[in-house]
Amino acid sequence: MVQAVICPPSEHNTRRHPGAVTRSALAATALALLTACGGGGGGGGASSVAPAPPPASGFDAGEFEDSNLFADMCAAPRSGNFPDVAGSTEDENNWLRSWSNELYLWYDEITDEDPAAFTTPEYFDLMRTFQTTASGAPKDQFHFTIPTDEYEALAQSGISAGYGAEFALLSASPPREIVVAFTNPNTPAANAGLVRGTQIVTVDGVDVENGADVDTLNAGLFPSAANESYTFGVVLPGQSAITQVSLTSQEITSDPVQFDQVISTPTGDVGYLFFSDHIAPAEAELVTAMAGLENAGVTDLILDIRYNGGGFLDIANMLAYMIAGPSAASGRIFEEIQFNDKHTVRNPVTGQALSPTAFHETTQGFSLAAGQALPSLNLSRVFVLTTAGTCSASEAIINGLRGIGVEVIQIGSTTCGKPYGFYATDNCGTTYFSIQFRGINAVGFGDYADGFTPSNSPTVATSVTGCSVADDYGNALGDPNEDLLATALDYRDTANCPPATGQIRILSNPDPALSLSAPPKAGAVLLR
Amino acid sequence: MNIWPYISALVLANGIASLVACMPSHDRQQHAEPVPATLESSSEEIDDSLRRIIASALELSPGERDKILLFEPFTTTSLLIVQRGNQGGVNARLANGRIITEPERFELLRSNGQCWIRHAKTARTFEFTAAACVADAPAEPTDTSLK
Repeated sequence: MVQAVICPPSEHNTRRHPGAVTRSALAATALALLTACGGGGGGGGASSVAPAPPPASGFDAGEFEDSNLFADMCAAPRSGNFPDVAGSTEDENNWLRSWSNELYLWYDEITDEDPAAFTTPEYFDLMRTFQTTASGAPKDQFHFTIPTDEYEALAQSGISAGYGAEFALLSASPPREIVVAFTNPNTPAANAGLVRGTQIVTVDGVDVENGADVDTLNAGLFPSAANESYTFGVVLPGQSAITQVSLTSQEITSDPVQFDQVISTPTGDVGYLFFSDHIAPAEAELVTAMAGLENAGVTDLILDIRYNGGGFLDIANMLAYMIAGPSAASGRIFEEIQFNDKHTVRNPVTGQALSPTAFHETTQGFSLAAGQALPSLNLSRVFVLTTAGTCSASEAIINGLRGIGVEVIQIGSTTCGKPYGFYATDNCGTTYFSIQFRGINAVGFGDYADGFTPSNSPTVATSVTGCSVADDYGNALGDPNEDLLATALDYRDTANCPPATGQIRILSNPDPALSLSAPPKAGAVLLR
Repeated sequence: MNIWPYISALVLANGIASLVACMPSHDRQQHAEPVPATLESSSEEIDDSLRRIIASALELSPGERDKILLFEPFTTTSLLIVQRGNQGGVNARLANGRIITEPERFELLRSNGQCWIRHAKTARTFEFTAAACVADAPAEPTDTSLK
């Protein structure tokens, strides 16, 4: 589930954070996250590491044993059906050291430290690069751990506990500001009348703006299971009075393609598609929606992925193909995965030969039978609506299409900047996430750690033609008057942008990437 | 060359073949072709039964089995897709932003009154007796040609 972070008021909470930082109660969309509450695990920010004691005997800097020699040697072995054997903290750190040296994308930027000198969480935090991107943000913003039993819990795809509301945390620290980004139909939130733009002002009587009881705020906004009830004070759009609404969490079925439509304009019909999550059911929904748009004969597509945090890369691949069509995409590379320079031939985790992934021309069996021909719009350009919540596989759509010469026109604000991936790896009950590969497109580009930014005058590879526009919670998604959609429609006719507003949100948090760099441990507080 | 459709077709063929092999001989004679099916109802007992099958297919521990989050599985589609990382908090969601592995897929099939669940990845089949299932209506003709 997506969880953002609310922290209590403190000296750490002076920075405002970007809009469109939301948490899906639908377990679908991973959106930009908020700064972890003081400290926090991992990440690219400054970390506090205990002073190292004198090196223990046996540490030989620059010499690395096979990580398998230390795997599953645990200071506290789990009982039951686990491979754990008795070991020590030093064994666990030695595994981290060797494993990182073998697989970390930037292994040669890790400073080799004595495994005997640190706790395991401290040592893992050191097993990454501390270099920065061109913008000054940490180069590695995605270095973290999750308790294995939590990460490996299985869930039916698209199902999670919640109210069916996607909350946008415009400011996660006091003075906090939280609004509803969208709801899923036939959910407690929708049935209670919550709509996009509804402000959340209290949770069980706790003031959202400045309240100190963050536990109640987090528990109320982000229920961990079904049948949890909370009372919310809300201000509906266009109203000033506070309305009390009681919500009880339940299993929510996420709808990743909630709606699509055809917008008629004097210069042709334009398709609009709201796509919020790359989950398995999205395959069927996307195929249905794109087939409908194909039959409608749209001449342009506005793809709304402003709250789409990614998911299955194959889903992104299929959607990109359905946009570009066979003439542009058939046989072309959607994405190529690159590991570090020790693994140029084979995937070091699966052993499979590394080869570029072509655009999928058929369904892949996620929620439709595999092998069915995909519909296609055969477009030479696409408009994408983005925010900082546009992440990972969503960015891969942009990058993959640009790689084959499809013009991408970006309306909104800078995307999250995650061309990287991991194979989650368990050792001793902790699942480690350490960047192991990056994705590049057909022309070899994948260096967008600072995200894609809309610009009237693109000057660098991560600048994309388009307009900087702040998210507009005052209008419904899909409403042609909603600022991002309206700007896309206007740009289509005039190639002009309104005065930039999207960057304001970004500037309110100078380093949104940093906020992603230190996500809380699972189960930690969600807002601050 | 994109070989995935061929692999999928092969897996499907193997799955059906093994499923047919699991069936009593009179089933094979009367209705050898299993067809996709859905459940007419849902209940916690049905979910528990499904969790046991999923746990068996994926070789999960009892603790892992009991944590599987399901919601009216197989009631609207013959497919059940489960994945990890949905319950792991913010970090899990971040990790899930760029998934290059495949989810676990299960399909509910009916053959001559019996319900079966097939695990796509291994083609293992499991008899499902916790609830009745109904065969899906025949699908409209579609282009299923493999590329």
